Amino acid sequence: MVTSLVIAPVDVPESRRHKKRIGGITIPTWIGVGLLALCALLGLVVLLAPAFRNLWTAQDLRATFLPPLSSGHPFGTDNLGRDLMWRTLAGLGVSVAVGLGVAFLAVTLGLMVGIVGGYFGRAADVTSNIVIDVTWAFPAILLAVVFAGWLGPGLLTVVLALALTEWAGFSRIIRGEVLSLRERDYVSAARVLGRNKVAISLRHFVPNLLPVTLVLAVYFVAGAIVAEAGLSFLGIGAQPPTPSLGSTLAQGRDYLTRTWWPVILAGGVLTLTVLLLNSVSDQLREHFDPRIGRRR
Amino acid sequence: MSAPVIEFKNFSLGRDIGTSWEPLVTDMTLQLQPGEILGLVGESGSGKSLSALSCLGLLPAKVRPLGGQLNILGRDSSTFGDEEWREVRGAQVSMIFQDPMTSLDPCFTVGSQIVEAIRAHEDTSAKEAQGRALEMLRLVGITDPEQRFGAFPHELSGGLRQRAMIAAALVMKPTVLVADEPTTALDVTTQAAIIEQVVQLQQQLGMTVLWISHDLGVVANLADRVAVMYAGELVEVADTKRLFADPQHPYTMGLINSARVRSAGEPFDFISGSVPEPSTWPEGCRFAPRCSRPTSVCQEHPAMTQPDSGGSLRCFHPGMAVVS
Amino acid sequence: MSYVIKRIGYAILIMFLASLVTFAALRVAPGSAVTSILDPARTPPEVIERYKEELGLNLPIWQQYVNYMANVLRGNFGTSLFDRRPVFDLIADAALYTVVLAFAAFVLAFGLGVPAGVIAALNRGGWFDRVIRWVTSAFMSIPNFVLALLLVAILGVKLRFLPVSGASGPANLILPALVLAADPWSLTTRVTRTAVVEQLGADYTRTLRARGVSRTRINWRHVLRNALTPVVSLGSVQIRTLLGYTLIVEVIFRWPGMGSQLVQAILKRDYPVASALALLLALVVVIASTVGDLLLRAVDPRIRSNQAVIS
Repeated sequence: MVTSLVIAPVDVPESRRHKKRIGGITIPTWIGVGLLALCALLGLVVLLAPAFRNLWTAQDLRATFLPPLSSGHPFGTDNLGRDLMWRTLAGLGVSVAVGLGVAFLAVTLGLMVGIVGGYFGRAADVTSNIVIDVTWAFPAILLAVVFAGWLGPGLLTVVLALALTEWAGFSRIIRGEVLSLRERDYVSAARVLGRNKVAISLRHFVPNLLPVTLVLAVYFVAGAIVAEAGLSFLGIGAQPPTPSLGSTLAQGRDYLTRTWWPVILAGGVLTLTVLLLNSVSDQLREHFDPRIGRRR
Repeated sequence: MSAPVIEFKNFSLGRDIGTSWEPLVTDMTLQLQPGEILGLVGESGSGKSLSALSCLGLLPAKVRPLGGQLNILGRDSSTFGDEEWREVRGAQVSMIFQDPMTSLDPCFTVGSQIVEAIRAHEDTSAKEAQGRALEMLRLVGITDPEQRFGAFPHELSGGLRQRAMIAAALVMKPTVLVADEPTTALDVTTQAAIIEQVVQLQQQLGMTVLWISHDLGVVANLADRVAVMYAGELVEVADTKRLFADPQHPYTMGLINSARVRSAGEPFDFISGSVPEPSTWPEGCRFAPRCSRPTSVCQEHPAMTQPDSGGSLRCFHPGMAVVS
Repeated sequence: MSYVIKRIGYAILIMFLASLVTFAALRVAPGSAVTSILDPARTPPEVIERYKEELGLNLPIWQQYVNYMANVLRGNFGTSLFDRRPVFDLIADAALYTVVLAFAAFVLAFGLGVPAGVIAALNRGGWFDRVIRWVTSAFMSIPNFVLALLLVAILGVKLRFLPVSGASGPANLILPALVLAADPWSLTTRVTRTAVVEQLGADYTRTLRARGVSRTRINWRHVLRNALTPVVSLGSVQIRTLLGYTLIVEVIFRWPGMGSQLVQAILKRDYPVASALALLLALVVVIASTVGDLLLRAVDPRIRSNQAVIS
């Protein structure tokens, strides 16, 4: 009694199916993964190195609302005269760091519960299904808002709220995969050889689940980045002075009658990042199995 | 002899590969006489299924007739438009397929799919159509048609599904039934029952049957005549008895040998290699590379001939026993 | 029929567990209900004790839960810790606006997404299919609140032909609903397209054609019916996502839903409001997935006879 489809399929366009490949994976995947790693590094710098903080927090009230291409400020400045290029970059870094954090937590939790539910007997399956369904009942964004009431607003709240809800959908897919994996001959063979279930899970299930996991993890990163920006937009995510694309958007909205640039820049960077991640996810899926995420 | 119900005359089929047409079936000449069961035999990739599908105008996308003629009940099929083809299908020429699970729509009851086959051709009332569907279900050997009528395909066993599919194909009493390996997906006992059922129906309804199979054993028990296809062309056509008793084409011999029941210890006879892809068909005799006794003549492409022993044959060295 | 009862029973079980979660959260919340109202440093202990008595905080925990549930079932979610108004009043109006907006977006997404997906699939490779592929890619990448801001900037600030703020009339619903629908519409379109393309190539379409059934009838009766299963599954998933983003889009269009009001309440750590909100949304999601599962059975006879087509 579980809703059958959780993560909706992203259609792999036919035109892309026959693209030339180098070493099995299309080049943009590596570019995408590389960019992602760079952004994550940037995020760590933003969150951990106060030495650089001046770059994106320095205010200059004499130079507010500068348009892009102003001298010293390639992207212009915001309402407090802060450099928009650094703020956008730093915000992107924070977003990606949050996205990776959410994906890591959700994937770890989802893998554990999914494997336990799919392989450790009927009672474990029923229990894990109930846990999944209860979790599933709380929508991520709203749970984050509610969490903010308990933990106070901040990036930690965002990461916890998103990870603690999004693992459920992933877990359901993993359970389905495990149900089919456990019928494989090599699993029965390992069982006959006296290996215990934990060993079999680690040795046979986890490696086989990696493709699905990777594809969906990238999908989670994209989803979490959007959700983080949305929550920061509401004032529940990143708190000043931590830069965030969402907060830049929120400020941009307040001054929309004066200038569009902050909204265009932050919105554009956000959109391009999601576009990049979606295409990486599509390509990974195409590489491994176009039917991933479409359990019927 | 009365007029053939289906007649291929130097018929050929090809696939659009962008710049040109790749031939899939060439120079096919074959007549399906009223009331007979003709077995069309060949390995997968020989073009037998495509030839069969062209009798209903159901060729896959990009596959088209390239030349020759295909007459269906005396009419040239190249003149048929979409609507004419639709009227032919099910009513004059009908077809049953290999896998009864995927060939029935899983979302509709068996009964409603038979009723739909009737109402595609006639403006009958739902009630009358239902009556005829029930009668047809009984005719194909389903003992409790009222219950099965409302069943969904997945609720039936493989054999019952195949019977239901036959009922839907025959409910309009077509002149010709094309059967594309309808028993391959079934277990052996069910296979025999279905074959018997089709033969019985063929006699009851006076149908002509084109039975496609890669299994010579099935065809031997069933067909009046057998046509053997290899790499897109017919290589031998003969009465069943004659074909099995005295095969002329080395390919036919190979097929019969590999299907024969062996005594213990006797080695397997098989034809080495596999059916070549259309793009790699040899210029000369297409079977020559796998033939045990090719000669220099076989560099030429053999034409279909009518030997004195009856039937037709495409070989320069008829009747030469395969040396093993 | 017994499945329907079992499924509803399961939904009730899930809701019961969800209510335990929200109740526990209410109790675990940093600072008890009393200390967030009264400063323990300055209030005499007798007063705090009286308050606890009044709020039933001295009862055993299970009895507190029973009281909580009894109140909840009567529509009493407690009072806001700040303006002392009943939480129900605080939520009710706003929730209605939010539900109207989310529902409008949902209807738009499916009403336009299913036909678009079908048409794209029937003409795959054609211009419509290509346009749809591009548009859906774009809509799936641009976060809806960014799209909302852009529309406010273009339509509200420059062109001024559609209202971009408030809820003074039905026209106010248009932009927020469109913005919210963009992403689920794209997903619905793609899922529908994929499903229809898959079904168009299914063996049974050839069988039906072999019996003289017309292509049009096959497409609109058989293919569509078979393609419905993944689309219906998608529906209940999307309601969940939609509800969350409604909140953000509301803030941008100043739609008087739960968005800004409740974000404010929650940022002030108004626990009763937070827990009531969580429970309410869980109810909506659980109902949506129950209805989704029941619909799925109605649509797909294989699921109806408990044959696993899932997993």
